[in-house]
Amino acid sequence: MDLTRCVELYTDLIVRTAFTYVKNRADAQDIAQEVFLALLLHKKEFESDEHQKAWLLRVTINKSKNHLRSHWFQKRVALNEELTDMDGDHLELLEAFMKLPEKYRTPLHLHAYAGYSIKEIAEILGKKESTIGTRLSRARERLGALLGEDHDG
Amino acid sequence: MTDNPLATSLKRVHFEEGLQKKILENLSAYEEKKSLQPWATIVLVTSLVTIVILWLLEKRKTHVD
Repeated sequence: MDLTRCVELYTDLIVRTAFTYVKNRADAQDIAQEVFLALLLHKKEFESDEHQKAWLLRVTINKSKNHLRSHWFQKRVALNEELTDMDGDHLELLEAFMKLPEKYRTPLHLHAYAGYSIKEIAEILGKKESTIGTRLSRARERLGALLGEDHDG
Repeated sequence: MTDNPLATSLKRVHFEEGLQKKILENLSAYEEKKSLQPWATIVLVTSLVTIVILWLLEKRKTHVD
């Protein structure tokens, strides 16, 4: 698939995946740019469109993690300040989702938003299917608990 | 894409208008810059060599005088 088509098809997925890590729109957009630059410089052929999509997601995740480790990634605006244009219920759910540890957040994002199966997520993240299954289940439990806590409190 | 409350909330996060266009423009500018690089190197090296030759000729002329 050519670069233009890739940008058209996957920008949305990539920028939202990066956002679930860095919790900042401007940074997520910068990461999306870096991911497509990496694709431009990538010399090897992809076996299929799905292989290419999975590669793009892996690069997005790695770049997002690197960004979080970087020295200049320090004090950022709070998520609710970042998302002032969202209404109550969506903001509440998104904030609870962002509170999840990264190991639960990523599989849940790939499953709920990107529509990947457990098997596909395991391949993308380089984990066992059973691990992903457990993490997805715990992610839902924790999300439910966080939302329950918020409603109770 | 799966339609569920979380996916709906994630979809509601708005990103910059025309992000795809901006990314494509930046990639295009990068490729253009990259294709110009060999020429820039040739021009730079040729200029440096010319300066050195002129300097040596000048030095030699001064020495002879």
